[in-house]
Amino acid sequence: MPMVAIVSGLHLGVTLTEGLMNRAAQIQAGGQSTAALVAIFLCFCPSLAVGQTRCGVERWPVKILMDIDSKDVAGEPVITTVAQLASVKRPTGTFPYNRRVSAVERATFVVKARLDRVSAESDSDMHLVLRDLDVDSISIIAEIPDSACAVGSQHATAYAEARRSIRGVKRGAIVEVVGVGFFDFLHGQSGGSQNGVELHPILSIRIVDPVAR
Amino acid sequence: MRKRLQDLVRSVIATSASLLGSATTADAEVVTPSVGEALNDQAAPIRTAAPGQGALIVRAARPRVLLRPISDNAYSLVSSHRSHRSHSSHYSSSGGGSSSGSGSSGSGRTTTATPPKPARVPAETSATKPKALLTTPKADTGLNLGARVLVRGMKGRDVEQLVILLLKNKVLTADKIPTDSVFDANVEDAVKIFQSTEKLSVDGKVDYRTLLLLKMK
Repeated sequence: MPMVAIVSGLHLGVTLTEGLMNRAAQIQAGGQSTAALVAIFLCFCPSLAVGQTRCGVERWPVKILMDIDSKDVAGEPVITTVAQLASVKRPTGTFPYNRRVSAVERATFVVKARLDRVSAESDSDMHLVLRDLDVDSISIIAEIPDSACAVGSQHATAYAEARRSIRGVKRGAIVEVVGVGFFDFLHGQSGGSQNGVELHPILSIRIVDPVAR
Repeated sequence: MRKRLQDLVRSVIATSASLLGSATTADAEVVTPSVGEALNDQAAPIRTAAPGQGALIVRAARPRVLLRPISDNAYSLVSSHRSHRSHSSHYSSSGGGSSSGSGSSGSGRTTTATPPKPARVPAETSATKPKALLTTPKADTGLNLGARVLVRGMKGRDVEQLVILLLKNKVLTADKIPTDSVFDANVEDAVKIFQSTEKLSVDGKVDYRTLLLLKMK
């Protein structure tokens, strides 16, 4: 018990997500007490270490396109803009750990945007801030998972390729990003839209204009 | 070896024939001299009954409408027969009567009605219950697109699938995607725009014609 207390104390900033609690409850209902304990423990951890790579936990199967509903995600991308995605209404219900909500999360989008920032996340994702080409104040987040955190996914190669293609691209470049819609938990991420919509995961990136604007 | 094969083929043919025979018998059965109503199906022809003989129920695989005899060889439509699923009320008033139908056509055979035997369902115990049900989350029971005609106000996975089709057809923009998978006014407007473009009747309902064209585009 003291060990658990110490570990949880180290991760004070972590939110206990409903999805994870549900998952833990499901596992516990199945009589797998050890697995349930592990799942509950994961609630207190922001990320899970895989070798040297720290991977995410919150709705992770959805974020790497390995969830139950991933087969329903439309492959053909819908052309849209950052501004349109940023004005989508956020679903009111819960966000399950392993399932998709809303048509947004079942659609693949392609947007042309101005690349504002690229950074590394604690869950090893590559974090991109995309700004609308017409209204600069509007931005959304797009993330590329580390392929090491998507072992078994048929998109692992695509993630690795997308990460390669964004390296060295200057801030302000125009990029065309293909990614799956996703609603993140609202936790004040910089560059994020008010509705929490993201392109997560990014499936491909094309540099339209590498010159900074 | 050859003889064995021949025997096997014969037995298969015999079994098939007997099965087909029983299926034909079950296709139609006529009941009740007093109920005064009849059932028919598109596949089964309507049979006539002599006056005073009461009613004729032609039970077919998929009963559709309820008919009442009004003269020697005429029936009036009573109602759509969708009010209940078991049809037990028809059996309860049969009284074991037999038909005297003088139908001139139809493949339905006239038999005495027998109440259906309830299927015996073994009690589900923890031993018989599949283990997967205990550990996996409840399956999504949402309908898939095409299972029903979609109209404004409906909600479900099929509405989400419709929205994606509308997005692909560029009649709906991402900012108009409805919250919580509800067929709202924006979706209805998009459907109407599509129907208008495709010269369909513009009613905002997603029936099979609209859906077919949405998928083809």
